[in-house]
Amino acid sequence: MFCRRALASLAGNRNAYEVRGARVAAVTMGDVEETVAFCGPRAPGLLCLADPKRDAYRAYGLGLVGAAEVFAPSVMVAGVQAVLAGHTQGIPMGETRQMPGLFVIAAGGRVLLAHYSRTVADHGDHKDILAALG
Amino acid sequence: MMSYTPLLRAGDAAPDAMLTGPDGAALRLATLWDERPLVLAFLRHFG
Repeated sequence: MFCRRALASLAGNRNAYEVRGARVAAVTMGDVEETVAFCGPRAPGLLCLADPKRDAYRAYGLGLVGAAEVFAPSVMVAGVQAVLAGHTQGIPMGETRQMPGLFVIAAGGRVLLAHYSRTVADHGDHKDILAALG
Repeated sequence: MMSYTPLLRAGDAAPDAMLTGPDGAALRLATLWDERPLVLAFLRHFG
């Protein structure tokens, strides 16, 4: 449910990033077919990239989940909020322990924002992205 | 809260990687930030 909510947030805020000159892309652990099936209906037009071997996840230092990231009270609250917002739980695919992350990268390749999720429900903050883009 | 150490910080060089686009073609991540900033989200599983 949290990945669905994250994708919806990215798609919903995409215009705000693009008017600031940015491209927007999401990376999934699925293969191409799974990625297209997941992103297509939920984020039409958003560039979704497949990384089934998780090479990019590792390159960006995104770790695997521990108990602290799953059982935090904030995760339970966020889970209820996500379901109430319509982001229901689907069948997990890929490495279920993989943590998400969010990065803003400047033209030329310098990291402007590196957000490592503190829990499985944490996908970064829209305001932080806008601040990084300036 | 987090049980691993973040690798990247603001100011670091972003790692390049080969990914696959929706058309099945290989795509080098660095081509997405060659001329414009990039907002890049890594999603968790599809659940």
